[in-house]
Amino acid sequence: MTSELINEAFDSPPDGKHWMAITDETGDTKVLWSKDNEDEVENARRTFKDMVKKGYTAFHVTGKRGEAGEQMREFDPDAERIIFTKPQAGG
Amino acid sequence: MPLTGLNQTTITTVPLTGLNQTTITRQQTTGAPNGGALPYGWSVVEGEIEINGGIGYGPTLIVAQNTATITSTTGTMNIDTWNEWNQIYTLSWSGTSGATSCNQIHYGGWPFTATNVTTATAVNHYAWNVWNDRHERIREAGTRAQEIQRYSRRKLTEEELLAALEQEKIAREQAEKRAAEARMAEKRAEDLLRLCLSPQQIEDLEKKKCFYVEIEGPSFMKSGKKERYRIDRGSHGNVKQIDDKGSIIRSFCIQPSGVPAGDVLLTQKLWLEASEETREEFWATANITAPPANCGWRRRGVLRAQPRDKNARPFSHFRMALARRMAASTFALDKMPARRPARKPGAVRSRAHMRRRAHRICGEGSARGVLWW
Repeated sequence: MTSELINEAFDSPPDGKHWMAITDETGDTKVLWSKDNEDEVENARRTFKDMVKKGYTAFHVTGKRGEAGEQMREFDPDAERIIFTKPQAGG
Repeated sequence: MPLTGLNQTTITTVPLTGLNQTTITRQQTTGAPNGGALPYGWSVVEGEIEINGGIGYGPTLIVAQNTATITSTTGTMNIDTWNEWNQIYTLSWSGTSGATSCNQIHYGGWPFTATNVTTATAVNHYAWNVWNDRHERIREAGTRAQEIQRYSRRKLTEEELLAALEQEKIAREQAEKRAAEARMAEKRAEDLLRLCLSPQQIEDLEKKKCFYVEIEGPSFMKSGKKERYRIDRGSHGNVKQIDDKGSIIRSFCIQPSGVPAGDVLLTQKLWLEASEETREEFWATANITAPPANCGWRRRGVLRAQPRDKNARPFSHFRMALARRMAASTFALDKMPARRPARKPGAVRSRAHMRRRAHRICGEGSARGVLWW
């Protein structure tokens, strides 16, 4: 079983799953994984690498009180929430 | 495509669905053969719409009126009239012109035999359906059809008009679909943003259309002073560094492209907060607008801190520039080091320089005659 791709908003991941949100023109695309499921973790890891290669920046976000995110360079299956931001440019 | 499953009707019993007026009267038969009774080539004009079936004959005006009758100079419905009027269905009949029965009806190039039908019922029925179908589509288009015709260089044929209407309808549907998708994307981005904001930031965003971010100052400053940023709704120049009183110190124009507004704010927040390194990159990438002290925004200058080449990230040079800026409590363009070294006393100066200097000291009127200082 591979990780799921979800294109909808939610406050908390279903069934305690971990997720990464990739910001794009649709708002965001989420990739879910369970850290116990190796296939899902591997797929999430592959997605992580692909996005970093594309120039996206990953942030590990914790808490629900606006805590500062932490930049991630390597995929961590224990991270509950990861947000990928697109490369920025000066306007 | 055969005509199946249709009920045959007569003109007098079927209303012209979709039209306000329910009669078709042929008013002009000029140029038609057979003494004007049978117009082989004629046009239908209704408002802006012209159905041109002409084969070298003058147009015939068809106007809808209040009663359901079709008149011709002979006072009878005629197979040729319908044959010309009906651009899709064609009828062929046995016998001489004006015969009262037909044995073949062609629809879109597909002939089929009509048995035991009289001209009055069969012809009326098929022509009526075509008429209603055409005008129902045109009526649905409403004023748009008239606009298309108005902005066209020439009078469009019915087929061209219908094709234009169809294209316009498809384009409108696609635009509505895109707009709906954009609204959905905005909502999703907004939900993701709210997921990463504190309750206070959410409240500020709703009430003031901005939220505040407070972060530690750069480590090399060693002052321990916190930096405050205000992120406004928007995407360009919406990040402001503010002082304790809320006054703007400098403005940053930096954003990801091709994402909804909520994602823009989230990206800016994450980059500012995450670490000193991401913040440095934020500063390096952004176009920074810094208002000099006491000058408002009139003398603002745009500073590019880093070349646009993404592959080259000269952080060392940027750190120096950053340190120089941060060292000044309030950054002012006036306090920047001089661009050129001062001239040595007695150095030869250009005539243009002397003129400018005279202008500066004596005013415009005096500058003209001064060639030497």
